[in-house]
Amino acid sequence: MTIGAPIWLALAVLALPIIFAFLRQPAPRPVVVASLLLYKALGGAESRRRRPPRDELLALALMLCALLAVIAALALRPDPAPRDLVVVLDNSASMNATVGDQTRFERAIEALESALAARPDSAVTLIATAPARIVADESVSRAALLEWARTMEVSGNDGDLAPLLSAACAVDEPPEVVFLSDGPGPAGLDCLETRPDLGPPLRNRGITEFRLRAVDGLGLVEAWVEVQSTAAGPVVVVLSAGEDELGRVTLAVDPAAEGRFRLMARAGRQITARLDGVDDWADDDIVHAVVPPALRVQTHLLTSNPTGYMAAALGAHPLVDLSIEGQAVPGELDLLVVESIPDGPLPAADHVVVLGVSVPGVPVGPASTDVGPLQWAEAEPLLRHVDLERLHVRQARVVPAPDGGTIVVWSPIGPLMVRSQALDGSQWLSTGFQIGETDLGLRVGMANWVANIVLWSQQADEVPGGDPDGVRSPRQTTAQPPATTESLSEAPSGSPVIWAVGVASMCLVVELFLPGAARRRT
Amino acid sequence: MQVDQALLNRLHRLRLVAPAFASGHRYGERRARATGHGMEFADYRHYQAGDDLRRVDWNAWTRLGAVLVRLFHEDRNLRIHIHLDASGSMGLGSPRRIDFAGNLALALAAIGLVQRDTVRLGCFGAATRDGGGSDMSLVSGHDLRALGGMMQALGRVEPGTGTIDMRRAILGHAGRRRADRSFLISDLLVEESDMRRVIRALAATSSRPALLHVLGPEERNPDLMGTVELVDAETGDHRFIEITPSLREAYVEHVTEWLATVQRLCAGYGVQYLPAPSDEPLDDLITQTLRRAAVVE
Repeated sequence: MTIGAPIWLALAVLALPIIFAFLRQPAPRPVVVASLLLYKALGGAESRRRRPPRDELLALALMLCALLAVIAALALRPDPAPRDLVVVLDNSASMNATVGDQTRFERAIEALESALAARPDSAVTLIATAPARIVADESVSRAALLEWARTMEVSGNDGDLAPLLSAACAVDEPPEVVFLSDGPGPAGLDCLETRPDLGPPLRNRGITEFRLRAVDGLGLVEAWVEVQSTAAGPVVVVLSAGEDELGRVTLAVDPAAEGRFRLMARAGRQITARLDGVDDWADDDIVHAVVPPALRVQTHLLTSNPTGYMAAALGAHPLVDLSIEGQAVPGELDLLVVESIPDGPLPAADHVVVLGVSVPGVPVGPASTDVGPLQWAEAEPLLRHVDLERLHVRQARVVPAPDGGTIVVWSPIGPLMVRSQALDGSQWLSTGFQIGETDLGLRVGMANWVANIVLWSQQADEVPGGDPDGVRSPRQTTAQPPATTESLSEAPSGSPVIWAVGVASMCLVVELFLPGAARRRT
Repeated sequence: MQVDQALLNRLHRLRLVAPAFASGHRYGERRARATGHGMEFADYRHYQAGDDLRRVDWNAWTRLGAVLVRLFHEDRNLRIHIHLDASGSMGLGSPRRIDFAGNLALALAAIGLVQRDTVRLGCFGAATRDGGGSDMSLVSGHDLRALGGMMQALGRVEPGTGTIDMRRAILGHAGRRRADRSFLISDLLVEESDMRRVIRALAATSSRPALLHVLGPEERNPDLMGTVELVDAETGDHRFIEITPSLREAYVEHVTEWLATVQRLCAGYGVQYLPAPSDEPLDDLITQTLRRAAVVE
């Protein structure tokens, strides 16, 4: 199409009213004032003539130039040519979210039908996202393609679309990609991208992580829940087992929060985490997980007193598989407790507790009977529910803290309990006293301390148990449709259209900064 | 110009606050620096041949043995100059500022004439209805008989056109003798350099000069909006301007600064600054504003 076409020439007639308006614009109202002296500081054009013609004519010329440039830009638009079409249809779980009386997936199907109707000559390829795969290519009829799309299962999380789309856009004539998704899609595609409207943003929150962990063999379970939301605010998480509600807790979500809870449940029981209240998408508000069996701790005790307090306490712990010096050492030790110096090297273990003796790498000082009052780190997990107040220590040895070590208990003579990490990655806890040198064995804190040590020894292991059911990815929970874009024919860089639009913009900008622009608009 | 006769009749009880000594050449009710015939004792001096023997203080002669004569302050009248700006800018406003200023000038003249002060009323920049000159010195007088002439003369005054040299007009009206009180009644819409010269001239011609600054609401806060073509009433110059709310605020700020400049210049030259808004009743201006400013009592 050329600018000489009648329709564009008709548009050029728009210039006439502009010219008429400029020529017929009323003269400003004359107002006699006592003196211009007070107005001089405010600017304005001082003139004895009724209208400054140079500014007016220049502005008129610029506006006409802008009008002609706009007409030229419209006239010189390239005719749209048929282009291959790649439709990305999001069938992940978040497309089940309801917008009005439709789900997003249903709106996406309608948008797919519209896109196909608007491009009757284009070759169409349909890509699904969950998982990322090509559902239909140009060899499939449009009717079959639509049928496949309508019957597609909408569930799961998005796959990686980038390889598929990068390959599709790498050809000589890149296709137009129509995103029917509530996600952002891959970035940096060298294709024309179109995003039909899939509805307004949602107000949704969901459980994005749910883990259970048996703390001991007595039914204590630790649950870890992560919640994400599209809006900040409190969210109530209800934990239940069957019909029994085990507890509820409020999390301040902004936009995510996590909580760790302790509850009593036997291994193998299904625990349900549910968000209280309703939101726009309920699928991600409830998840289930099975309580895994408790981890057993393979423990070996090196001691000269097999009937001592430590041996008794370890032997009484329900999760400890204990072997004592002289018995066979299990293949993989979780915990090694050293109360006496062995003849040979120490067995390898993930966690080592040394009680008042010097072992290679962890020497202790000479014994001192004047220990003084103890102080301890109250936030230390190893001393949870352990009270060392007025603990009688008959004699003790200073434990030098290695680099990176943490002093857990100290007294006026120096550190008495140090936690550290060895070069091989094993965790060490060294004390400057033996249990028999204190009255710790007579206290309730002894059992708690041993329980803490066992719990400490479990933490290196993977949490057993299957994947929870119903957990959605954070992307699914917080998915919001990106901005809608209409399909436009791509104008190549440097085309006459770009130049014409640029000239029109420049003319308008220059006219805007001419003297008296505000007066002309008045 | 329209003269308010009723107003003049209400001013008989007022009188101008005078400086310490009057310098008029006629008998009046103000104490003069010169000694001679008067009621208020001033000093003694030795008798000289020709002195009036009635002024010899015989009690002093009996006590001191010296012949002394008593001297008295003479009672003279005030010399009052009133300069009235009748240039084109004074013809605007409702009521017209020239009417307001003329009545103010007549009121001051009447207050002075009641006390038998010598009043010289000058008007510059005017165009008279009978085609008189644009810069004229009007009548002077020393009693109420002169007031009628002043009223007739001012009744013929119309605002003139073109620019005037206000300083020259003031110096010309004042003459050679310094006035005891002088009043310049004007809007003083001149460039700052000219304003300085005018105030300096006013201060030079009087021992107690005062500027009665006549401004209307049109100057203080003009009711203009949109695109207007401003025409200078005196020069006829044009200026196209679009008045927006922000520009009006800027104008009001500018006027405030300009008024501060006028007041600063007046203070610098010892000229009493008296605002005289033309939309304020003249009664209130004279009986309240001028009384508070110790111009009349």
